[in-house]
Amino acid sequence: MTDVPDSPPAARRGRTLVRWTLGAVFVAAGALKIVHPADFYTDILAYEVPLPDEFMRLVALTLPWLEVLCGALLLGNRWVETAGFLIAGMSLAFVVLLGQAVLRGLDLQCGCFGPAVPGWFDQPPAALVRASCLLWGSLWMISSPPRSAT
Amino acid sequence: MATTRDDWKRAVRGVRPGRVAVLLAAALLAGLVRDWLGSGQRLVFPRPLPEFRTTPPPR
Repeated sequence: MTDVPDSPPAARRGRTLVRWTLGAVFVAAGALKIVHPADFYTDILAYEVPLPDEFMRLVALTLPWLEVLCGALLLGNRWVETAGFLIAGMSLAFVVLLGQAVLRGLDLQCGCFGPAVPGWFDQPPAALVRASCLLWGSLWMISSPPRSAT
Repeated sequence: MATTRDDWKRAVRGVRPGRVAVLLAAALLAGLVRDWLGSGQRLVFPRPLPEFRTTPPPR
C-alpha cells in the first residue's frame, strides 16, 4: 500500500489518537470480561436474541479474547486494517444489539466492561451512545488514508 | 478531509481474510483453553465429576 498518498498531519494525528483510544477501550473491555466469562454469558442472554444457546456460549468465550487481540494490535500499530475492520464489525453488532434492547425496553446491564462498573454506565442507552462512538471512530479510522503500510 | 469512495475501496482491500481467520481462531482457542483451565463455572466443557473415595467398612 505504498501508493497511498500521505494524509495531512492533523488527520494523521487524529487517526493515531482514535487508534489508541479504540485499542485501549477494547483491551480494557475484553480483559474485564475474560476474568468473568459466566457473568458475561448471563449478560448476553438478557438481550433475548433468538440464537442457539451453544452459539451464545461460544460468543461469551470468544468475544472478550477477540476484543483484547484486536485492541492490542491497534495499540501496537500492527495489522491495523484487519483489526480495525473486526473492531468496526464488533461495534456494529453492539449498536444493533443495544438498539434493539433500547427499542424493546429491555431492563438489562450491557455487560460491556464486566460486572465491576457503575450502574448508569452499564445501562443500554448509555452503552448505545458509547457503541455508536466506537463504530464511528473505527469506520473513520479504517477509511482515512494511513501514513504508511502496516 | 472527506472520505471518498476510493478510501472505502482501499480500506476493504486492506483487510486480509487470512488474518481475520487467524484472529478468530486464536480468540476461539484462547476462550476454550480458558474454559477448560478456569477454576470457575464452565460454559462449554462439562464440569469435572467430584472425586469419590471408598473407605473400608468398620469392623
